Amino acid sequence: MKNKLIPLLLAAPLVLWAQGATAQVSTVKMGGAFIDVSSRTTGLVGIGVPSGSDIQVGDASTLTFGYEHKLSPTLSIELAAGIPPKHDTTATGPISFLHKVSSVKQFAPTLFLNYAFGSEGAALRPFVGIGVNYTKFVDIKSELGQKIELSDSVGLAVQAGVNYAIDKQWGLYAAFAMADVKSDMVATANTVQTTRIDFRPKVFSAGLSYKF
Amino acid sequence: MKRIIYWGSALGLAAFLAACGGGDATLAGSVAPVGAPTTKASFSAVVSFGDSLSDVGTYAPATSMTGNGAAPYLGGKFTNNSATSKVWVENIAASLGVAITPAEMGFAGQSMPCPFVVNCTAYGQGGSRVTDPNGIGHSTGALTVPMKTQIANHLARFSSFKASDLIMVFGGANDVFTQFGGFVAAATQIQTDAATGKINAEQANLALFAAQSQAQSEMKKAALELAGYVRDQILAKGGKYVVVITLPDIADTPFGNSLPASVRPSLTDLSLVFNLWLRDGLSQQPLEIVDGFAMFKDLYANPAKYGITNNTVPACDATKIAAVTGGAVKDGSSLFCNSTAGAPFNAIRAGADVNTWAFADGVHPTTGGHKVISNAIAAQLKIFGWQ
Repeated sequence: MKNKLIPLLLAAPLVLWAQGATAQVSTVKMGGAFIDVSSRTTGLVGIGVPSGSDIQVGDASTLTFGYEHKLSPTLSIELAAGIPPKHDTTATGPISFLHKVSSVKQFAPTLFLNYAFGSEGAALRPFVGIGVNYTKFVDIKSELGQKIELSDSVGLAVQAGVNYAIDKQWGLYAAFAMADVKSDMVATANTVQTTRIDFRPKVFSAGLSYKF
Repeated sequence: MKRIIYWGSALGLAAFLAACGGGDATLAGSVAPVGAPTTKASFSAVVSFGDSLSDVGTYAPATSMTGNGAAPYLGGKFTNNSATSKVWVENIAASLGVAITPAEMGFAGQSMPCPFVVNCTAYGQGGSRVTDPNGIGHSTGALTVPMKTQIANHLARFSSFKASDLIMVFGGANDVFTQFGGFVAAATQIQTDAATGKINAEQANLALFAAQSQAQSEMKKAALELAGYVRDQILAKGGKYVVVITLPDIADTPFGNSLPASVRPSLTDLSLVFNLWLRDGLSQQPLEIVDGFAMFKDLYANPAKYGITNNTVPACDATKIAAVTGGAVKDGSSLFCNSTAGAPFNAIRAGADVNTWAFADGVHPTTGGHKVISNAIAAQLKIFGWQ
């Protein structure tokens, strides 16, 4: 927890909750998301790994769920998560002939504090949010018989989107989110290969919401 | 109420996440040994396991000047041979005031165990591998008793190690040569196939990758086996003062330098893979590891620091060795290289100095080279507090 902002972000909803005066409305969301990964690494390092060798993490799509709780006419807190999507990893540089080298699933719940623009009854309300993303990498499979470990990541997340109310309960939403997801990789087989991956994910999501 | 529970768990989750952030993926080979003795010892023997670098004369009978296996011997050690020429193991033993002689002498099916009756504790033999009895030169007569059996032979004689034994373990280079040979053969075939259009460039790359992985996998296996012997057959059998020396970069030898630049890194990697898993297998074991890789790297990079003036040309002359042996030895092996001044069988290259040139042949050190090694290891023994 190097980022001092994160405890503050976590504390803010609590404070707001304690003040909690306004109409409390919950919303559940379900939709699809496309995760555009623009990963960058510090380069793949290890015995016998030619200089310039690297790995690239591919994009993925998944089903997402969200729970949003209104704290005030403009502020809400949202927990977003999805079914862990599978990302393929491919080799690049001098080792590109290896093509796909591994696959990994990531479970990335994210807690946002959202601010909605416009008045409370408006059908169309744009919003922005800031929060904390936690990413855990699971079900890591190597094509090369390696044991691959990826450290967990905790980092800032931001989002911007729009909610559209169809009626009092149902609505549509679309959002674009980015998160700071970094992980240390250790791949072990005949040798030990390491790198630090900055995933730089851009998540486009859209779906249906229901208020209660 | 339901909502409060929900938030409670959400915050609990966040706190949990905060606690686990950062990760702690473990790196193989990164955990050091621990618990080796730190007290001065009075050693009664140096017990050495290894290969040609630690061989104090196993194959002397093969260099018999009378041709019948009997003394006098032309050579016998993998260095320039003379009355005063010593390998590093002998220098260490001498500095501790103990004698060390070959555990076995012989060649071509002939073998004499403990020829000098006392302190026959130099088990290293030219060509020996870690586990495989079929070492380098075995098919042409070399005994190449593997390190596994060297240790077993010591236990058969003495049943256990003594607290007053200084135990030196330095091997794996012949596993490197074996795996490197296999890799080069595979790589040559792959390149031929690619050149003749039998396979495309990508297939060639994949085949090279597979050949490299195979060689590395064998090095990992040998290293973990050696670490296992050290743990189970030395430490668990009374070994107290135990030094394990990691492999040098064989690409820095005259042999290594004779290789194409594209191939040399593969040779380096095999030592590195071996050292990685040797360290991994010896993690948290009560012994000391001497970083042979770094030690030899420094010698290669800064020869003047060690009084070395030439670390690229063998001091032994292959043509002279061939002449002395009547054409029997054509590869310039220092096993047959005698450096006695003025002797008719002297095979030292014109202008070479066995005290300031590092190599006797393509891979083995001169008297001076061995002195550098023994000095470095003696310095380590002081650092360990054993001397």
